Amino acid sequence: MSERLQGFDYQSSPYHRPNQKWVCGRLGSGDCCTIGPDPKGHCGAGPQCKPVRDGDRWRCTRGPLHGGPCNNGPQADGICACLTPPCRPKRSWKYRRKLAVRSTLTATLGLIVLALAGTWAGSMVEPGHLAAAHSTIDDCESCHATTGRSASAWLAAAFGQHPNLPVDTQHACLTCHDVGEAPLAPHSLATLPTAGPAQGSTLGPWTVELNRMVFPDPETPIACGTCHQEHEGASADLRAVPDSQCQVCHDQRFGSFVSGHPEFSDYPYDRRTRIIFDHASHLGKHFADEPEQAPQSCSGCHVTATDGRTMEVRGFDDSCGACHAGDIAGNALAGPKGVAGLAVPGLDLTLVENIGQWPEFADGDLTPMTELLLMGDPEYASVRDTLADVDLLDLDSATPEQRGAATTLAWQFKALVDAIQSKGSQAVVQRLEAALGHPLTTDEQRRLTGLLPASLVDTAQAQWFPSLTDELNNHRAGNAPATEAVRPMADEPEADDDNDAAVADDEFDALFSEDSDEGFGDLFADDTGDESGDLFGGDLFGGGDVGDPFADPQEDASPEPEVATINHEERMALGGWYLDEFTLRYRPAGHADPVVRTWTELATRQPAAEDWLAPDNPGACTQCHSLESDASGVTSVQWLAKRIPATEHHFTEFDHSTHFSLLGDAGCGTCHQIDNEAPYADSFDGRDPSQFTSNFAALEKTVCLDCHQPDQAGTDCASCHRYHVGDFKATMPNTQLSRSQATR
Amino acid sequence: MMRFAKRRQANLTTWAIVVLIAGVLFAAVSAGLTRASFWTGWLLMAAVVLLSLYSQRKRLSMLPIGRAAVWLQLHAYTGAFAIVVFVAHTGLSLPDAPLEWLLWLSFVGTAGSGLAGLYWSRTLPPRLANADEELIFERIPLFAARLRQRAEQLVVDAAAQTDSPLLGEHYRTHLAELFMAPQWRWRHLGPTHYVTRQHDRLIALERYLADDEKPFARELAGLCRQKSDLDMHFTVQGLLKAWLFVHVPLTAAMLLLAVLHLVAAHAFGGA
Repeated sequence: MSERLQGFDYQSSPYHRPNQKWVCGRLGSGDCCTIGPDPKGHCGAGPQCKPVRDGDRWRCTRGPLHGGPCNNGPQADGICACLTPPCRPKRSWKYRRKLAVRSTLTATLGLIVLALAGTWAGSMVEPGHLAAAHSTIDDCESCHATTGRSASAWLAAAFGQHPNLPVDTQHACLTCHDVGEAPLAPHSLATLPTAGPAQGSTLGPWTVELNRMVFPDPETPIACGTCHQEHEGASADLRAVPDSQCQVCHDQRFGSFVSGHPEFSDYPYDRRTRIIFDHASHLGKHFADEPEQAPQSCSGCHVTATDGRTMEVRGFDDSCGACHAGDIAGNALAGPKGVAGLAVPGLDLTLVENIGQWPEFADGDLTPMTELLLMGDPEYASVRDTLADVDLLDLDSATPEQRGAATTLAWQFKALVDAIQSKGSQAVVQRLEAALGHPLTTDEQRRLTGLLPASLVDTAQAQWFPSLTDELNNHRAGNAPATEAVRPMADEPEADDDNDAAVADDEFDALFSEDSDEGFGDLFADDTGDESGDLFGGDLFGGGDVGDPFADPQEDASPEPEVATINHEERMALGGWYLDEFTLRYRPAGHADPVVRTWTELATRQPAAEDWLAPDNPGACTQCHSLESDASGVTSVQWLAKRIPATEHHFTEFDHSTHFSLLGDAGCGTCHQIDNEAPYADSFDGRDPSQFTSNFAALEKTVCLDCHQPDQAGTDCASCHRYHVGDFKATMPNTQLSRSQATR
Repeated sequence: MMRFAKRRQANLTTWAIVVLIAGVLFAAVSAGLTRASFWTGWLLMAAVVLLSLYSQRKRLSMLPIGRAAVWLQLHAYTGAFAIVVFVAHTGLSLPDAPLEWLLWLSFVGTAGSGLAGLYWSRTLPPRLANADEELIFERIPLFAARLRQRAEQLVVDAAAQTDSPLLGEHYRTHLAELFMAPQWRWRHLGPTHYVTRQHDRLIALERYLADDEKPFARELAGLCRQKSDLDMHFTVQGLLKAWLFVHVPLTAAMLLLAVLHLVAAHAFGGA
């Protein structure tokens, strides 16, 4: 048995101060002193005892732990003779550990200061690289509202002195990203629509339910970073959104698309179509009647949008034109094929006094365009009100005031014709601007006047009111001429200029005599022999298909001489203005004629022009283009079929192109099944697009479930739904043109 | 023994329940619009602060704030909990920025050294208890010096009494280095009780010695064995102290970096 090394009695176990900073340097050699180093590490070696005087002698007081009293004893002067040799004190383990802590802290603090002191401070704390789309952003301030690099700025931003920091930070995102007028509101919508009820279980995943318990009211506004987590690396998908983030806000929650997702009550038919097209009747009847012109497949009329998401309707010429182009030209119309523009209103000439010359056979109502042009006269409003319920062709029961108003109307109409004749289209523009209350753009002016030919107006004036200028001068001078019924001349024979049948009334002979006092003789002079100089040559008198208005069956029973009359309506088959008796008509130049379209749009805003919107009007616009009124009652014509721009985002989106390869023999019918019994046409009785019956049966969720299972095509909310709803366009950079850019 | 086992079982059960609750809350927070990283970050910060209080507790022994053993248990289980929260906070992804790397490394270093320290403090003390005698770590150099004096005195006595230089030469050649100072030997941390090979050499040498030399050789072999045990104490106790040289400084650095991280996260995170 070896001698034990460690003794635990007080004599063999001296205390070596391991809890102090310094310990004796000779601890390892076994002869360390009892005094030990001081707190600053200075050796305390010296005399091993303090001798005490014992009578006349000095006595050693060295303790038993250090060998007890020495043999030699103190010196004669009382000084200890045993001096402990000095040592180089060592740091204790505890002190070394403390130094290690201090050194590490100092080094760490130094690194932090070094890291944050330079311009590289941002990269020192950047939690991760930006996504590739943001890779050109090279400073923190571009996105973070935190300003400055000082510690105080960071602390202020971090803890409460910047309460709007989350929102302010998001504004940096919105500098480049347009997400509508309420970007931080749920779904970027100021007002949220209500969702349909869930089917089956209304419980979401337990995590979502628990989240709602912990956070019953999701915080709003919803900062961009809530879903779009940046600093996740260049390849991170900033738009990836887990289902739970969608579900946490929705009161109607459900487990997944497979379990609990609401059935598609009306998807994708959430409103009536803009173009009135009855698939059931066309496929069931019309296409069968016209197999040569009928499309052979859905793609005959539909085409994928450029972004592949939606299906669009082909243009008129590619789809409907084969059968319906003639409808617009009015080929099938029994009546006039042109839209009525300026027209002489019919008046009861026996009772309307002092209106001068007035076409005897004019019997039409005020056309919408005529009324709009008259509304440009500020005095017309009172006339219109007075004549609101009056039949102008029968004034027997009219009051004197109403008869007077009819007289005023006649002079206002004459003034209108005179203004148009003298100023041309400018007069039309001025009248329309006065009636509409706002200036028209150059394009509107062009489209609304249809570039009305001046010669045609001259012709109309000469036919309707041969002495218009003189009459107006007299009227303005207070000398109103008596009412005089006028019979315009018949169409000038095309083959025989001398045919008297073109002028059927003696009174007109007098009017157009060179010797006439009325001064119209020069109008018919043909000094040059050029027909163009003759106002009555060529196509001055249109309306060939309405018969001869000047024939008097009682006076002349003998057959009319056969003359070749000019059919102005047919001459304008490709579109343009023509004169039809007492009406200037415009014949549409095919589909999407700008004049008819613009006047149709104008008619939606002017009650006076409401008749223009009738489906059987020439042009037949509203036979196919539905009329819709919004919540404020504003009506618009739906010129275009549904088209979703790439910038427009809806709650639910379906990418057609990615599904084409999945369709079987049923093709489009896999999802779109025509409902032959649906009263589709009834949907267009009103102007509310939300009141409708679809041509197709509603899509059922089971169709999607064939593929959209968790282990197949996936059931993520974001597969079909968008969070940001609205029309978001890329924000253009505000590039200021400078000299350097211009000359580069 | 049963009491210790029951206590450990109770502690582990409590820890597991806390982790489970935290995991459920983490899943719930992650499922919502709230950024879970802020919650886990604050939780981690609180755990780290609580862990660092353990060293302060040892300095405030006069205060009635619980026994040190209880604090040690709390420290160990909280540390394990902090590791779980750290995993949830980082998502096992590596940082990018230099300072974030420093924080990540300091936490991993602290946690790793803590786990190692926990393991060593549970496995090594029995080895010390099974040794022939208990030794105070700070005195090991002193004991080493005593052993060297005894060995050298023994060799001198052997040479004087037997007139044989064999033991003296053997000591000079093979044993002098062994007795020179306490020696750190990793083998003492191994699974088996290690005795220095010099002891075996002396046993093997005995057959070549004269009869009067053999008692000296046996006594010298005993000193070798005693020195081997002394080195075991030096290694084991040294390791039990040395891991704190990693754990404690890294904790301090981690706290500093964590505060910076917290400020930066709130200043730039928009929360």
